[in-house]
Amino acid sequence: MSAVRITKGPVWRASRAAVKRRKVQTFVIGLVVALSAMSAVLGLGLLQASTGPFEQAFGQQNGAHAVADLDAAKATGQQLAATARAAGVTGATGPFQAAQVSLNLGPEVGGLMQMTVVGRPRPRPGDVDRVQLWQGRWPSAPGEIVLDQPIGQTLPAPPGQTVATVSGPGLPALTVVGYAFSVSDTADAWVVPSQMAALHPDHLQMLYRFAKSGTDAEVKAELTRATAGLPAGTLVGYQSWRTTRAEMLAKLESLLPMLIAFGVLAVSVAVLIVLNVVSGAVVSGYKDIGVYKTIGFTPRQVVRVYVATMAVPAVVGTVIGLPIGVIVGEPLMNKAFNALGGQRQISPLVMVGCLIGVPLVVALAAYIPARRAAGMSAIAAISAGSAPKRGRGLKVQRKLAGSRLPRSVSMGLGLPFARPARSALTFAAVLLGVTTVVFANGLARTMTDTSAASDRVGAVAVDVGYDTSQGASAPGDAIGKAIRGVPGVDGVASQTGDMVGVAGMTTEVNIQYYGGDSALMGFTMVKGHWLAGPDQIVVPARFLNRHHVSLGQVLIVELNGRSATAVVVGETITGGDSMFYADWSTLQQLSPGRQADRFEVHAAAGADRQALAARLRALAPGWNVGVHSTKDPNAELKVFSAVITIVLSLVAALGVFNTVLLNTRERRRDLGMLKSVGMTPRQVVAMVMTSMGLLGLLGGIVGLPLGYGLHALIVSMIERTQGLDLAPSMVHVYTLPLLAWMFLAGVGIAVLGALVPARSAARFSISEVLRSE
Amino acid sequence: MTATANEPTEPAEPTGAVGPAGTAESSDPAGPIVRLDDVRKDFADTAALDGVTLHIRQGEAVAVMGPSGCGKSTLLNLVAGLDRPSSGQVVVHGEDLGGLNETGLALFRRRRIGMIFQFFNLIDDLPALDNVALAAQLSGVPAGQARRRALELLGELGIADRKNIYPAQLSGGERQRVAVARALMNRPALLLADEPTGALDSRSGEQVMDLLIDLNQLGQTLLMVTHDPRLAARCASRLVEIADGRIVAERALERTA
Repeated sequence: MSAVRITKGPVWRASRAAVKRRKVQTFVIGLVVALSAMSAVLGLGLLQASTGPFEQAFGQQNGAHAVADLDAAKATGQQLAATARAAGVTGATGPFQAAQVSLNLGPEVGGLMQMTVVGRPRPRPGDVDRVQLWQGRWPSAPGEIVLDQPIGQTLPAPPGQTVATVSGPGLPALTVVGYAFSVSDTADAWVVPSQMAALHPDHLQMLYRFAKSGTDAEVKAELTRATAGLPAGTLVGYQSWRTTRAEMLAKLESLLPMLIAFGVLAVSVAVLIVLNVVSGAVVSGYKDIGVYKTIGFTPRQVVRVYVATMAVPAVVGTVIGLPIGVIVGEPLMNKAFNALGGQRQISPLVMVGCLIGVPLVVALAAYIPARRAAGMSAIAAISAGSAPKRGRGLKVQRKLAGSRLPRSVSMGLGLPFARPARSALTFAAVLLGVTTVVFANGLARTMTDTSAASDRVGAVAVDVGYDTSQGASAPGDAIGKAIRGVPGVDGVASQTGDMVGVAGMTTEVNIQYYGGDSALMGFTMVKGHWLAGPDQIVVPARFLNRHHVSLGQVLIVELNGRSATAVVVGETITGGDSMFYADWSTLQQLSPGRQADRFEVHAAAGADRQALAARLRALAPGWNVGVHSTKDPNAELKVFSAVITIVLSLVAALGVFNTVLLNTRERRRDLGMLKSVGMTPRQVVAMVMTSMGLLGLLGGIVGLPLGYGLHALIVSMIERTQGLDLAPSMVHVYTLPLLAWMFLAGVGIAVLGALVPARSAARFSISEVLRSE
Repeated sequence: MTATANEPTEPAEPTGAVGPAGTAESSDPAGPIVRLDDVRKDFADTAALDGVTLHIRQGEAVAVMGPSGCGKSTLLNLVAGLDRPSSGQVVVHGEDLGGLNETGLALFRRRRIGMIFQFFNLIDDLPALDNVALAAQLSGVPAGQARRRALELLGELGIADRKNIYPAQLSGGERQRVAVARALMNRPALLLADEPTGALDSRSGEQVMDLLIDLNQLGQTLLMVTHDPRLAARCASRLVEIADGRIVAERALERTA
């Protein structure tokens, strides 16, 4: 079609006239498309990010399949460089000198931190492990250091702060100049290579990528082949990318099912609403289609008019909604995936998909009813467009007319039956809105409760440790007593740990011994009880599930030729799959006379944690005193859930708004007649609100169990993937008042969407309606 | 409901199947039931009515005639409280419609007015009986009671056997009878008819005319707008002619047989 025909042809003129004449409808469609595009970008972005999240980050950084630790004394630089050209190696970077050092990052983040520091120039394109520098700059001279930290996490020291290196005497102080993140986990910090001599490097690091790296065995075989030419004993250890991947994904496993569910919900709501709004608008224009046909428009021209009419708000809405979706979605995704670092970006594929897909859905939603109307006779189209098809839901309306309900209410209850398809789509949108509200709210509660329980938020105010290598100033018991005497301390638990053997288990297990007031330290129990006497053990849920241990079982623990027996008395949320907690008496059997090297402090009610920490530091300057955060560990998740819930509820409410707009416009004659026989504005509003309230109520009735079920499903997936057992209070988060409120969410969405057009319907002029009809 | 300054006063409890409640209680039995004083109604730059003064006494049957666009329907809409005058005063059954808000106007229509339209304006999804009962049900009359009265009215109008039929299956005359029954449901003081025979064949039109005459003879005040001189001649006791928004002639009529 030529430009002249497009701009001056009858199709264009009719489309332009329709857009101009139905400004409110065009605006609503544009708004719905914008919100739907936003929702679709968000949903597809989440689905994209949830598909192989580690692989995406790993690919972006050209991650290392193997991080090899090499003995610098055994191989020359030439020999090491030759490994990069070995068969099967597709990329290699290094060697870099590496050292284990202790940095004192200050008391707020736990004081001393043991770190692997690597001397490396700024990563260049093509390097393996292109570390992402996300704040500050790369070190350019000795005395500067960049710390490894996932994006968005609290910085242990602001850029510019100088930190002490305390591993040994004479080590240099280093100034933090930036933060970077390595998804391959190759180092905890980086300095310039010329700095390393002062840090006493103890090994070299080579980073490899291999042609075959799908399994641990393949990685090991490829690394062995690559280093085969090195002198024996040069390769002292390595870290496979599969191990790093498993560790990273473990942090995300609880999030992925939730993100996928949100993504599916967002896309579904977007598509449903567009279908509802656009097809409804076309159906309400059937009368015009009939008129076009009477003046000679061909069926094809009629279809073009409607597709073109919808194309205007569709394109404008998509162009506006898409960038908003990206702006809202990317920070949310970054928060959700910050464990993997990297900037999560909505892929161009998703954006292009939405840019084409959303207008395409609009065009399809317009095409189908327009095509149907174009095939009707002109008279049939006019009569179909003048009012809803007769004979629908007549029995229901008849029964309602005879009911005891106020007539405006009974008429409102009958309205949805006049346009069953439109009502069904509106109901589906409300249903998904309610499901999202119930699911998101429940999941946020479960995740918050679980994280708070797992991290023992609020229970441990500060912890106190002392570096045994520096020599304790006093035995543990004495320190415990001293801490107990500090104002603001309510309870003190003494603690130490060991790697022990357990009869029947092939690997060593980390045992954490607790004495003193350990019951105050916030261990949430799934089953059984916390340590309450000698020879008792409490196991984390992950340990219990991995090792198939049960409550009441007796474990034989072995250390340095000594053994002790203890009974499993409880299962707790806190802890991993290769550790458990034992009473202090077990330590005395395994390692008599051993003292605590760490203390957990429970603060008295109202005590200031920072002030308490300051008092403890003043008591013994050598102690490492760390303040535990009371911050909700899932604050970001809550924001995320709230944003998704609000967006999807708004989209659903817009669907209701549009339905009411179309219904009242189609029923203008009936409304005019009803008002002429004395229906008051309040009764009109009541009638319209009742019609949508019914859909909202049904949305609540069906959406509540659906959201509840989805929550149960996702929580059980989280439990299964994480090997967790959650306490009943974390699973059954829906209290009766909460359920009642959520049940009303559907009505809330319906009322929100229906109020404005209902009030508008109550106000329109009867004489104009009756005259125009 | 307590009447306020913006809402009309309650009518007396109606008696009898057909016949106006207003006949038993008018604010001033000797005075006009409808009073338009110097009424003007503008639509954009056009005056649809310009300085119209018209008084209608209780029991009268007034026909308003004139060419299309002369302002007949506008006058009817103002009397029905469907529209508001740009200036002047409209008082019906003692109610100054200018002082009523939207709710007050709705209650006024419900209690004082019955309306018949050229194209019936029935709810297509409701059978005849429920269409008629609707007007009472909006006032809170229980469904059973409303349906009983609606059936009584349909019987009076000779279409009780069509009570369960939907509008689409009724003839034009039957539909207009249902519309008349609905208009009479709340025993209005004033029956307004906008081209009541305009969409009917001659036989159905005759039947509706007979019906209106009967109602008037029972004391029902009528104000009708029509193009049809036969309707005016048969049903009206007074003829008002309008042209360009002004009353140009007014005369009493002797009803023809």
